[in-house]
Amino acid sequence: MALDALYEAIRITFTLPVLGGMLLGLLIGLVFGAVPGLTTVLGIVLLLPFIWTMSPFVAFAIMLSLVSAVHTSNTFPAFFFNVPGSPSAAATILDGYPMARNGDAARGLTAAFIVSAVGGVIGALVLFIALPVLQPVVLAFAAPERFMLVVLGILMISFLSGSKPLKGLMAGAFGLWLGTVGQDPQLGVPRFTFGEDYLLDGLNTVPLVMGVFALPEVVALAIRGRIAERTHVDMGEGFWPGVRACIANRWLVVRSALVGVIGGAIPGIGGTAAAFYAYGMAMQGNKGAHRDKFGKGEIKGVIAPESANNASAGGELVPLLAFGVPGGATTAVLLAAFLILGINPGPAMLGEKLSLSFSMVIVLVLANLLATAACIAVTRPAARIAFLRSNLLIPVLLLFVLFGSYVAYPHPYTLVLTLAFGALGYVMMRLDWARPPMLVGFILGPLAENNLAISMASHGIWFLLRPIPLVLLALMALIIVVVVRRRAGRA
Amino acid sequence: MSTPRELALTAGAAVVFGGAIVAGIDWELPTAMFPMTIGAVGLALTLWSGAADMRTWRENRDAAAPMSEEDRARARGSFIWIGVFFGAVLLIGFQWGLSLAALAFYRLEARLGWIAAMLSAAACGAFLYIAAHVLTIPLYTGFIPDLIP
Repeated sequence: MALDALYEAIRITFTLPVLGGMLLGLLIGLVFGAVPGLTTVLGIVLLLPFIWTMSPFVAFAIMLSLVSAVHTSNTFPAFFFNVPGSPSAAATILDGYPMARNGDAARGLTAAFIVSAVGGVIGALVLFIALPVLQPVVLAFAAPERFMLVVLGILMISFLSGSKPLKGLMAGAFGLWLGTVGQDPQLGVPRFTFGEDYLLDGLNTVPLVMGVFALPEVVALAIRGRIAERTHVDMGEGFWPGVRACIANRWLVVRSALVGVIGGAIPGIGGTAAAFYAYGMAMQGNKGAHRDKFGKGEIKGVIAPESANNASAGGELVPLLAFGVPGGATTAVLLAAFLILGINPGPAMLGEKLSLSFSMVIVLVLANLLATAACIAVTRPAARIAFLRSNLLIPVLLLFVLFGSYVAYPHPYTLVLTLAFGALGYVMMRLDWARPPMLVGFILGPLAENNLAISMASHGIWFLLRPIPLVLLALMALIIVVVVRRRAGRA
Repeated sequence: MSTPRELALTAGAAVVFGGAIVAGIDWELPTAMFPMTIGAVGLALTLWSGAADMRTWRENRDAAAPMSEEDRARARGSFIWIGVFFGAVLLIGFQWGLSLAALAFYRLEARLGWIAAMLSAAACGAFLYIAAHVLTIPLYTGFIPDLIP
């Protein structure tokens, strides 16, 4: 069955619409990665309104190519302007910018792009291997296990995606509450609709995502003014030295990629943290004078985070595809894309939709290779993108926010709702409250409610004492204890 | 660090969670179970968080998150422009509202020349025209045109 699905995936992926979608996603992703402030999440959010009528193969080809391209091209501003193109490139700054100032940019960028491709391919291969292996595990999950898994996912994302775990939990609970707006799935009773027919079907995902994630970014861009200040950097000459540096550090590339995959696969950790782990690991692996070079333009300090950063994309897809639980903001928005396309990620992605899962692996491999080739080819002109005035982009972003929200649910109230969510998202951003838990709670809320209802009907409250829920409960307790102790230690 | 703003947001969340519990009292168990559970957990979290915020809010009463006066002015400007874009669409619809708002933004805020500003606004208008007339996507025509018989 897996071989049939693989054959089907290859057949569909190498068709004109899917390859065209990949190229489109690559182009958008290269620009979003190169321009600080335009993030992966924003890119996918702006694409959501356009995927309604697309085949899932084309839609995910566009979105995953965008993700891969952002993970690769976000290296440009890290080198040239000391600003990460997206948060996951933050660790690259530490040695990338000094390399550029030392006149070693070409060698560093070449190495960064090549290891990005290698890391991305390793991440995709791990995903490819994990899918069939996880199938029996996923099938062992019934309603009680799925309910507990959803709660665990929200708990982990709430605790780990921000500096304020308690606020993250509150955001997650608020998202769960937003998910209950509309008719109750069992008896059809309207809940929290305030007599408005508009709310009977529940809140639409797109206005919420646009408001909470895209509008605050518009304000942030306006505040930033010019995207990056002009700095003088010497590109230097060094394509082949960059290639040689990758070969010399091949095991570091593989180790960092595995760190990236694992970091991506654990909900709440994600690519940014994984890149810093990989950087730390690379530093720990050196002693004395060699370790002192880190932070001053050491190529290993670029290779390790870049490999981990791209590999994390494959890792992040493992819990999303296998269990329907997103690992971070990017996969939370991808989960929204799944629902828009009428697909419930989880067991189906390892069963009747396995060909789509395999197609996603193929897209990740191709997109990483193509993004690397494109970045190496356009290194010099791409550096100019970041000199754009950010306020030239603001009307375009607002156009997509307004248009996208309205198309998702054509009603004037949708625009008002988007604005209200935008205000909430901005306040949360300013106060450093994590926003991803809210989205994850909103999307997984109905799933949690259905599984809780089934569990209560069939086992009563004793469903908590089944083996897997017990293990998951213990895991939750462990996470809470670790987080509380860590915070107590900091205080 | 807790600030009065955090406390206000926490209080807002407490109202929502408390409201969920109160609303659930009138519903049957299958309808009420999930929202009331979330309400109870959420309320407990807000009370815990609120108590922690209260402990530190007095010393941080004047401590706003770090933002320079210039940044604050830029943020205010962006709020106004976001309001202009949303207001224009609600009043005169997508095609005219967004195109005119984009023209105003490019001319007044981005300080482009008239020709560049008009070309940029026309590109927005063309996108919306294609969406509405070629792709037949129903776009809102605005509150004011709806009033005209």
